[in-house]
Amino acid sequence: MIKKIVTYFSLFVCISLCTSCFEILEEIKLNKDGSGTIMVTLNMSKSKTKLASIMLLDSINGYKIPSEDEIDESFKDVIYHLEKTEGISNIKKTKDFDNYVFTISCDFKNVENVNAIFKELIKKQNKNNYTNFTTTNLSYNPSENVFNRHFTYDNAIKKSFNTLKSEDRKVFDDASYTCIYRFQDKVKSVSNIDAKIAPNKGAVFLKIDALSLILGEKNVENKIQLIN
Amino acid sequence: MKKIIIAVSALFISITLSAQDLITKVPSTASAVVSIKGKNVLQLMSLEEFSNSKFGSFLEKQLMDESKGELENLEDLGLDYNNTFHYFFEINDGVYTNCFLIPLKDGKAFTSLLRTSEIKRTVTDGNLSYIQNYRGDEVTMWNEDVLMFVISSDHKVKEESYSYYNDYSSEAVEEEDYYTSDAYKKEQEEREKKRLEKQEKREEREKEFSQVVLDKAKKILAGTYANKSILTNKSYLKSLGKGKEEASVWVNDFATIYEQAIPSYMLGNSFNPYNFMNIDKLYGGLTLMAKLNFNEDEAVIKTKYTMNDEMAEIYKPMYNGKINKSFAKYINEDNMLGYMSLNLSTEGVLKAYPNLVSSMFDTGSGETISESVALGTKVFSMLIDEEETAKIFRGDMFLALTNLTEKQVTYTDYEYDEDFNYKEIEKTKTETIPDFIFMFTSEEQEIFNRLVRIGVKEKQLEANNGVYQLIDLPKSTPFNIYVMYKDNMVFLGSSLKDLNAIQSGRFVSKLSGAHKKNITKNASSVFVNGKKIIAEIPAESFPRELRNKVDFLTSNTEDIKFNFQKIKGNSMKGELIWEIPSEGHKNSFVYFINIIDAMMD
Repeated sequence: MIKKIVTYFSLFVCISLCTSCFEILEEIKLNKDGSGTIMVTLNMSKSKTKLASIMLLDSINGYKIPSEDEIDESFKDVIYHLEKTEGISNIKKTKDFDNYVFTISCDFKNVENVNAIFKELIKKQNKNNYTNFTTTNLSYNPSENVFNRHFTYDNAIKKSFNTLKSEDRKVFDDASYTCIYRFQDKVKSVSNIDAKIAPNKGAVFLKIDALSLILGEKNVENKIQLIN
Repeated sequence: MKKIIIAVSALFISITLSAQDLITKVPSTASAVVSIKGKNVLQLMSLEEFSNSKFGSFLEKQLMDESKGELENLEDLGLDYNNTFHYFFEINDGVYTNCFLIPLKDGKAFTSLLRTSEIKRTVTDGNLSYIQNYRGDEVTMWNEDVLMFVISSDHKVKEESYSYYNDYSSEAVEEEDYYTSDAYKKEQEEREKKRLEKQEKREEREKEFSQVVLDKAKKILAGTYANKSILTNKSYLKSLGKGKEEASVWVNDFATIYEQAIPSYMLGNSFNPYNFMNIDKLYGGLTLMAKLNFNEDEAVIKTKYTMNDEMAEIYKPMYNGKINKSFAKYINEDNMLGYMSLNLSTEGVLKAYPNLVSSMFDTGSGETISESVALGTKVFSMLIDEEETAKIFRGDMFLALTNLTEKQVTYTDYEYDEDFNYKEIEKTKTETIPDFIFMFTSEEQEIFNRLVRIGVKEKQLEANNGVYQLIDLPKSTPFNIYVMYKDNMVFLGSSLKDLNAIQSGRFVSKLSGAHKKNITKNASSVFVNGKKIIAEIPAESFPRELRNKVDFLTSNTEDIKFNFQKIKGNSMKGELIWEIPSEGHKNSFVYFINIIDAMMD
């Protein structure tokens, strides 16, 4: 009991003092026929001291903290959902609770299969919260050899962010979203001014800080023209 | 004699209160009263000074926008800032009333803030005007001297509305075509009829309630009560004191509040807690008073709980612990960021607990629950040896935050080549981790030694010269915890250096007499070294908007103390002291306005 009180007290101080941020990495390798591989990584290792402290508590700032088992269960749900999605195969996952790095990757027959993964979820979000997020996140037109990463900003993001307490907003201070797209053809041009084309023209890189994304100052929308 | 003193003090108070003091409009049945003394606040900071502050200017700009330019400053609002503002809360038979009483100098000025729709809805009745909202539960009422907001809620209606579902409680569906049968249709019709009846009843109650709220508002403004004003309430009168505070809070008898909030009849007969719990014994006579004073060098909130004789007798031994003076030997205030001491008596708690539980359930009703609780507590008392238990854990304890140390932690990042191929790399960064020490008195070294032996054998503890490290902590826990025993004390801490120094007798202690006094004389004492904490927290740990204000915060944050005294007579007193820097601020009220100004930059 006493150990618990003292530990909780110290954890509380740790949580208040330790910095927290995260990085999301979205990597897509697209083949000429429109099939490819997608890998999404959530890297929270920069916040691991804070997360380790948070994970020992039941809840913080009024939010319930999931246990490792509960996170595992959620992972299983995601995998199950992916397995059910048409055109998705070779699903792999990694979990590292020591460093708080989690990845999920899978192969897809065409980018529509990837859109289908989130379609229902986004539709539900739009219906329940009157938002206008696109359900088509990716598209590929083989005849014009154009790959599109779609994104529609909705003010609901900013509104939700503004309802957070300043302590909770801190999480996004140093957070970032990185997109890497690799192609078999060479890249001719990109529409997003923040995106960079690799010197070998085989890849596009875009890193945006989370705050700019939340506030609508920058976004991940990108039209990538490949050379036929 | 007591009656004479109360009568004399009531007379004295009514003379000293200005004729327009709105306290006479607060009924004697109020459950809580909050008062802000405008005159006392203005002595600390004039209205002009406040208007010149950034916060004041901001408020005035809002005022100007809201009134479409008609009101330029706070003076124009027509409030009588020199008078006292009151809020009171009253619960009567499940009806909750919140009322704000604002003294006015010019009754018409604030009406510039009303919207056109509100002006249209304004009703004038003699010398008073009012607006009632559509639901009828809110009334804004004013005359030349007072502006009043009444917000009421009817908790009886909610109780009734649930009973609608009871109509569906026991359905027996046997036939397959039951839902198309005439019997079902007939039942449906009856249910619909019942529903409409209930809806009608509810609407009627709402209409009636709307009138009740309006009548109540008029009554408050007139201040004519059969039970007279709060100035006839002994407990309230006793709480007034010299009246030098800027704000005060008074909460009436808790038992009455509970009984009025949820009257017994609302709970029905089955499992009604009033049948087996003696609310009056537990909460009867329990009142709370708090006063806020903005002094020159500190802001102080003083609180006082007063309880009935029986409860005071039960609680007194719980808080009557003896603090171990040796705690002070293991504290060095030069490294101390804050502490909390707790001075309970385990023996007192164990002896009092059965009495407390018995009293709570002692209704004299002969209910099985009451009888069972009485039996249970008796058995508990017989089984527990209070004195022996207190040897293991006497009840006095001390927790200190001793330091913030910087620790290098690794994290995973990515390194990209020019083709954006990446590999994971390990980087390091500095995190600030607190060091703490927790001590409590225990005479049972034998038990400690046995536990430690089991811990070491089961590989839960690692021994190191009389200091034991807990090794079953979850991975990534940002600190280590060590435990040891010395001089009838158990120590738990995160700093091996400190615990080794204590074990070997090399610990250098330093603690001022003022801290020692606070720790030993009070039931609980909390100290926060504000300046040191802010100075030691790395700037990047602050929210982004505060990072450029760290210097300001460091030079303007002083100590915060909270002391909770032992029970004296029937009262438990508490005191929260927020110290302010000796220079730069005229007084503690101005200090807080200056802080708000700085944060608005």
